[in-house]
Amino acid sequence: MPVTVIQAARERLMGSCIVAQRGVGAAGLSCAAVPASANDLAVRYLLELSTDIRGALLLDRDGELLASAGQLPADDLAAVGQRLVEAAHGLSRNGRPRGAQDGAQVAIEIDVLSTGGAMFLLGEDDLMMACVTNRNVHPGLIFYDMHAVLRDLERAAAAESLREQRGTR
Amino acid sequence: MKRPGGRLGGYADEVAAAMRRRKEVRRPRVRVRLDHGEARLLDDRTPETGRLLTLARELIGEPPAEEPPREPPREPQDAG
Repeated sequence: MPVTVIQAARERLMGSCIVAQRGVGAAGLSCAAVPASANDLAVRYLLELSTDIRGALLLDRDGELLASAGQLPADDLAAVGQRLVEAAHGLSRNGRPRGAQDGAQVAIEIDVLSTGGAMFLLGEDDLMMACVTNRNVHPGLIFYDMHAVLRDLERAAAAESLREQRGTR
Repeated sequence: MKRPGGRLGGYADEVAAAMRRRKEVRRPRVRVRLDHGEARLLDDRTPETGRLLTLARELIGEPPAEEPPREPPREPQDAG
């Protein structure tokens, strides 16, 4: 039984692939052979949550690009993601709240308003998520959706590790 | 109480205020919130703001902003 929305989406996707496999025959095998990862599903789910979000990318805290979806016209997304994470690290180092331990991950929210749109960046625990929207959006609502997806992703990872532990026993 | 500029002056003030607000909202800006604390606007002149604005423009697909033309240095005028 799926625990999170992302797991439910994955099962739905796998189910449709199996149907395609049965209906099309050998041609459907390629679809079933490449199931989307939880990261891909999470980014796609964010785009489904809000029509204002044009594109999104998911990174780890080291700047490695985990997934991306939607319209992101940047030529080298991995490099842009790396620079985004570096900029966020710089800001969180400078503005570290009192009492925060060195090395502890600080939650960070950045919203950048430009003439052609807006960019939002959210960092929590080990993940960072960025998305690009129109200018006329409510930042609080976009961050709310991003928080929901990141939380869902963490829950999915926890459920996955629990399942693996049970499988090894 | 009667306005010094009359009714037209009042309209002009309102239009000017609306234009000012519109310009303020449309100005590119970077806002940061750390550890669920208060959000703060970054100063436009800091390198972090410039870096984040450039990255946002790359992701949005917007051409990079042109720097405002600098005024040529004025020649010192003789006091006498």
